[in-house]
Amino acid sequence: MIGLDIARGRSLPRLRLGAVAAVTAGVLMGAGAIHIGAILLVPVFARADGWSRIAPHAGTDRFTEIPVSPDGGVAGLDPLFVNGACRINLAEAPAGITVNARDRFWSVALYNPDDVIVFSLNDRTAIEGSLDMIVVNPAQNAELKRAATEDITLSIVAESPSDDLIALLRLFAPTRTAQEDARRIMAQAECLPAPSVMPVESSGG
Amino acid sequence: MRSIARLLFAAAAALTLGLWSAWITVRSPAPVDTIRLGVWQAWPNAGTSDADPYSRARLARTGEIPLGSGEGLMLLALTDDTEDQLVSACDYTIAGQTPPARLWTVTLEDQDGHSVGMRDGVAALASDTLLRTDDGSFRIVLSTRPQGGNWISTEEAERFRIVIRLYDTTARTGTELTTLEMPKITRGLCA
Repeated sequence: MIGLDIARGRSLPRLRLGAVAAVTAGVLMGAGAIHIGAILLVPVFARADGWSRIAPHAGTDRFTEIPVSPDGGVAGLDPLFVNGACRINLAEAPAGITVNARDRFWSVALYNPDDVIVFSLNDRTAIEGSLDMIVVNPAQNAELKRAATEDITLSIVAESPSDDLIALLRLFAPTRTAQEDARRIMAQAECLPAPSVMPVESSGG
Repeated sequence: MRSIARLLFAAAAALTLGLWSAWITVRSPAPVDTIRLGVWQAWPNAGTSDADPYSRARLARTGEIPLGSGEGLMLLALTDDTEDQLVSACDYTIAGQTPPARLWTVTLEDQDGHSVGMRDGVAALASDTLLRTDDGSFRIVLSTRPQGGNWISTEEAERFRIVIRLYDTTARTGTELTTLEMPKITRGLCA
């Protein structure tokens, strides 16, 4: 190496500097590409994301409780709440959610498989402690708006871009008694397909 | 030969650097897309459709279920105000002004985000039962030994982090969030 340097004289250091710069640039560009690729692929391959964690606990056509106890259960949920989940599929029909709970904080969130909360509200939005909500996809929403009936204007309509959802119901329950109350509220809450809210299609068009 | 070696070295370096930098940005708690208020950190974009790819990757990795914009905001502290790890060998005081929320909770969780137990329940307090002074300020003691006033037991977690969740809060939006005055976490006596 040293012998070569001397033989080629002064032009060599400049040349080697260029090679080092080229390799460095190559490494940085490659690292950048791998960095971006890794970031974008994490959500695709993640098996422990929020959706995968709560999906096994989500009930069909009703809310079921997500365990949050210190020994096991789903991480990242407030332990002072009773948390419920209900799987919704809008492909066939819109879904209806009703909750009746007074004198406590509670909230409802619609969660999709991309770990995005597409819609959320809390008990302040509910009228006298009762929530009547319809979840629709964009096509159903367009149809509802076209044939807006008076019944619909009384409910909250939440539009979700995707058909597959989990509705999360969080009820503030800091004490044993409050937890029992919350479980009762959750059992009485509805989370059902609601085909009847759609306007009846007349065959004549 | 040398050029192949150089290429292999460059590829290995690129792979290492790329994966390492990706890991740094998505580990929990990630430095990207974070709002910092002293030792408290918040991710107001987490779980919204506005979230950037970094936040999405972080959420997918941590498995945390964020609070929606209509629900509230979570703030996390990993250290005390001198940036030392929170350990049950020491007592701590969380003191400050009541945050702008209809309801808020203080909970302890372990490194994996699981809530910490406490005799007869969980290591957590909610604002509805919190004792406050006349000027609206509060003081919570974290200790393994029972204390008068607001107390959360740390006996079931050797290391822990503190989570404050603000429900129905105005603090989610930009300026409200950056001017939010969060409580101080001061270390007391250590065993």
